[in-house]
Amino acid sequence: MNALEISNLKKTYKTGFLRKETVAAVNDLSFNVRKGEIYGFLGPNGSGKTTTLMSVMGFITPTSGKILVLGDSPGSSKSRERIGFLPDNPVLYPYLSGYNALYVVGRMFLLSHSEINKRIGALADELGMDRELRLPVAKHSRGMRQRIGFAQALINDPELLIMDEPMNGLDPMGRKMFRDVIMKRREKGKTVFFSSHILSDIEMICDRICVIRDGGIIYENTMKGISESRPGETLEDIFMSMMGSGK
Amino acid sequence: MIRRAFWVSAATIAELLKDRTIAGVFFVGVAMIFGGYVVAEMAVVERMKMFVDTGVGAVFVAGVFITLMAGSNLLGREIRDKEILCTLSKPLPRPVWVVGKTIGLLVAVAVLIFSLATVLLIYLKFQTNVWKPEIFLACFFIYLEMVILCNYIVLFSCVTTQYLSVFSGILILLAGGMADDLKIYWDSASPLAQGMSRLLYYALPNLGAYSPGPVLSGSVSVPANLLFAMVFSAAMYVIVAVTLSALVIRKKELA
Ligand SMILES: Nc1ncnc2c1ncn2[C@@H]1O[C@H](COP(=O)(O)OP(=O)(O)OP(=O)(O)O)[C@@H](O)[C@H]1O
Ligand SMILES: [Mg+2]
Repeated sequence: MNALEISNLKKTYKTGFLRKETVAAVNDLSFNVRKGEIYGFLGPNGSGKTTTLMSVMGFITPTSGKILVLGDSPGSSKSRERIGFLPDNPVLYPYLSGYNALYVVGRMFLLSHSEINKRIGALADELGMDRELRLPVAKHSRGMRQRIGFAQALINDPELLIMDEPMNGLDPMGRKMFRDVIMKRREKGKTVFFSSHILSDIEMICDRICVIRDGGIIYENTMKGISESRPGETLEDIFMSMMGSGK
Repeated sequence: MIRRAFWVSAATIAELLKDRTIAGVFFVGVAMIFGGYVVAEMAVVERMKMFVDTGVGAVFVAGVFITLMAGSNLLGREIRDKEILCTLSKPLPRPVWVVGKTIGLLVAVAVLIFSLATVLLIYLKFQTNVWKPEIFLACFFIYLEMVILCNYIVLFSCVTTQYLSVFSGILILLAGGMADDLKIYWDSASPLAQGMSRLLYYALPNLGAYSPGPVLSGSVSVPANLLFAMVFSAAMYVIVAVTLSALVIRKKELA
């Protein structure tokens, strides 16, 4: 079973003042994320990762191609009940305290008052949040905002977790915490799909990765497959050699 | 869905009332009400009328500023700052979000305008020992006018930039106040002027009808059916504008 199916996804943007020129941000992209796996989505800056995630979430309409999220079309309320999403640079109700912001999110899932409090408490322990909950989100540091971002993505205990650059702004402890959070979700049978540049973390937690470049897949393999076919090489070596070739 | 809309409104109200700029305008409004003292001292006759006029004027000016700022930012800020990527990744359909935000804005503006009205009422009682509850009716008229203005701005801000929507809001406010004058041209000799004036008359909100002046002078009592018509037409504006905004947002690319 696949948690996410993307086939022949294409997205072109019109640019320029008169919207005459077009750029293809994603071009004929196809891959699947299986249920229960941690899937890493790699690629250099501007390769189309965010564009792909925005299409998966239904925030933008693809020019062509097909996407199925948990068997549903992107952006359907039904699938959103079971998804957690962390955007790049998350901001959430900047004038509310972290606690109140998360509380409102909990209410979007129609959770009860006591259930929301229970979940916020559990997430505060897991993510190491304390001041985050009391300060208004606008006054948070980058890493604090990222933690609130995780919490809002996890509050509905999602089956599928979709994240854009989740390690952004986190210190080494934060990144360790993040890896633990992800591994724990996999033990519970959840699916995780995220984009990142931080290859060492990807290496540690992912089951499978793909690399995109100029909007198309140039490599896909399981981590096991990678270590068998290219023993002794780190993901960084492989990534660099891939980017080096063809330049 | 009603519960979700309710919580979106609640968050919007909390955010607007915590906004420093809006709080600033509110306190400028309060200062202007107190400033009515200076104006009244200078007046030789009708000291009381001066108090009331500056006070209600202050409520109007503060109301316009708050409406322009909060309205143009209501949906736009969330979209610009990508907050919307968190908000709408939840099971919250876009139209419900628009409805919740708009209701939140209308409630927050009501809270601010009627707080200013209360300040004015108490200050007046204190200064002139006159209890003038008509102020509330006058401020209710101002509020209805702001409701109509809010809707225009929220709708504009869905299709243009923030500054352009503020600019269009000011134009609507100015032109809408003069809408009645267009009737002069209805029977003009030139068919072009006739057509244009009729078109504009129906396109613009007749904001002049919401002027608080007559209520305050005490010379006119407001018949219930007129009041009803005013509330009804403001409500129609809300429904039409929210529907159109929701349609625009539904199709909008959010990245
Ligand atoms: N709204 C837009 N209008 C025009 N072009 C866009 C738009 N959004 C993205 N692009 C272009 O699409 C391409 C892919 O961008 P995207 O943000 O998906 O890259 P990314 O892989 O997420 O990069 P990064 O690692 O820097 O986050 C880029 O060339 C970018 O300039
Ligand atoms: Mg990106």
